[in-house]
Amino acid sequence: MIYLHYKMASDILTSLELDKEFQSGKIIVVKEINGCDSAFITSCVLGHCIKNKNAVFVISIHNSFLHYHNVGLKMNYNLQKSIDMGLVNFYELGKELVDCILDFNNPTQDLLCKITEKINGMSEKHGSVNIIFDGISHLLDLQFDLREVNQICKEIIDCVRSFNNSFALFHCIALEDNVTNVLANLLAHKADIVAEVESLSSGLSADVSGHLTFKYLYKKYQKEHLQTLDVKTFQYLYKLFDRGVKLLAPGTV
Amino acid sequence: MTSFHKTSSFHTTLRGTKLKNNLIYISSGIPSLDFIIGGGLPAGSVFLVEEDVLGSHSRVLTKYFLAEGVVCKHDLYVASADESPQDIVKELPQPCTAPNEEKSSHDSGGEMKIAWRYEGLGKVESSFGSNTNFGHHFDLSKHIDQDTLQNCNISYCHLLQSESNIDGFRNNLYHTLLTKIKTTLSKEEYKSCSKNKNILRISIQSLGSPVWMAMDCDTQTTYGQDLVKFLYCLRILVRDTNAVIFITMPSHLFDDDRLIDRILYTVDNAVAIESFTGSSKETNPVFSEYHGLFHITKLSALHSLVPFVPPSLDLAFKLRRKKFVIEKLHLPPELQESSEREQDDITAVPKSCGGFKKKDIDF
Repeated sequence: MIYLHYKMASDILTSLELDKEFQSGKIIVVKEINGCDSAFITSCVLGHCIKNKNAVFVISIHNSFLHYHNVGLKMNYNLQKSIDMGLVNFYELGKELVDCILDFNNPTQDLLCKITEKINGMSEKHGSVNIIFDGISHLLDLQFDLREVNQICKEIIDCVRSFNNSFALFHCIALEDNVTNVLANLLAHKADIVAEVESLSSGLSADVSGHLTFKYLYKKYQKEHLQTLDVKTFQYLYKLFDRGVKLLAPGTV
Repeated sequence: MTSFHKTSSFHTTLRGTKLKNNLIYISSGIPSLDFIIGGGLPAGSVFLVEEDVLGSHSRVLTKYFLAEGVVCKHDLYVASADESPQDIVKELPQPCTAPNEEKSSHDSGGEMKIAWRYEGLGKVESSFGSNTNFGHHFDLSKHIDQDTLQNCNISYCHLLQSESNIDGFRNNLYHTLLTKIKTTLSKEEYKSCSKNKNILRISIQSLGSPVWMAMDCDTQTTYGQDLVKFLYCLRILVRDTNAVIFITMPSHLFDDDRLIDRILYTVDNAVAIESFTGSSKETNPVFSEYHGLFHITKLSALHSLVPFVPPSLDLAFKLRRKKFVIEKLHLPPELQESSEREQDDITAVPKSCGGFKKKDIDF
């Protein structure tokens, strides 16, 4: 039964190459196109880390802890328990930022220090930390400018690159003709793997939830791909279930 | 805190709520609306209604939302910068026992016979939520009396613009409303873990109207920045509480079309009303049965991986004298056997004359 639950997330994990061992930190960027929700990727990845006892630092601005906890229970892992054990640190940054705004404080001050402090604290305990940053585009809503957001991302990426076998996963929305798109492209430029989640252009469907495209940008610099200009992208359709996600080849539904 | 706790025993005691995915849902007051957005409005979420051009239909939706709260003894919080919130609450529709009109339409349908080859097909359900027990039915022609309203816990917030300059927001209205909502939400009964809990229905009327956007008009680069920031703060404040925020927004007035995309990212569920009043669709015979189109612009999956998929996205609404219904959009049947197109005939005379027949013409 446990194996079955695990299987429901395995398509995503294999595509993000999280089942492979890798030497340095890996940067994964999830772009949400046309307002499509990509929280399912976080849920799958969280489950993977908890089962493998890898430490995770979740910085959440978009979704709540209760959301991930409830989804986790269906996917057969207990987020609350992992937090109690110290394996997962769930940082609800949104709450802190909003409190700052309502108390007339500038939220940009010492935000970076707080984040790096928490990462360092966890890395001392566990050796390496995986980082998930959910809804980074909301920082722009809170009047952070692109330079400040970029600075935060850069610090996080630098931290992860220094660890062995860990990853940083950024979720950002890419709206057309918008500063959010600039941020998404900026992050995608730094990424090793980019996953683009897009809703169906024809509307909603009960058979398929949307399109998912994976781009393995790191392969550009590998010997065997030096002769090609563009690295091959992998396009899938995905369908969400209560307990997981399935990837389908285009045209198979 | 233990990782596992049984919460269902608390939730069942709350009036007018149901539990789905370990989350409390309340009714919007319109069963058909509840149905198409996945069973109601989840607690701790923000629901956005993009207003029609005249704002008259979105107003009806607000009234239903508040009236449902009055019937279920939920607490209400009504905020508006354009008009007095007391006026909004004045004419809430009265609850009625059962929808009578549905029955009469079924009776008249009994005389017609279905062709044998279509008998085996499933019944086409164009009206939604008619057989649900969740929520109440209301009669728009009658109003809830003042005594009942006085027994209800209703807070009003009429926002007035002042010159005072506040850090964080250029327009002080946003900050004032946020701090007031924060104070209200900090009460024990609205916390999701409290024992004596109640639901708080927060209605914000015409958010983003010219009063709200007054400071944004001179600077194009940061147009709508305050509004997006406000909505994000609201999302965080209301999360994990027993409150539901119902916002109507005149998005057709925005100078920047892209603003609504950023707003939709921040809210949980959103719908848009497109009324036919004053548009060319008013005289189009295809839409003759309806008063406007109803669009679902965002549905979130809260506490779940799978978002709700409505049975159809082609939706239209009717505002009858007594009630507001959302239905699946159907084209009218082609009953005439003339070779000429029906719409060519109808557009020649005003609709109120009931069309005309060829035999009535003398020449």
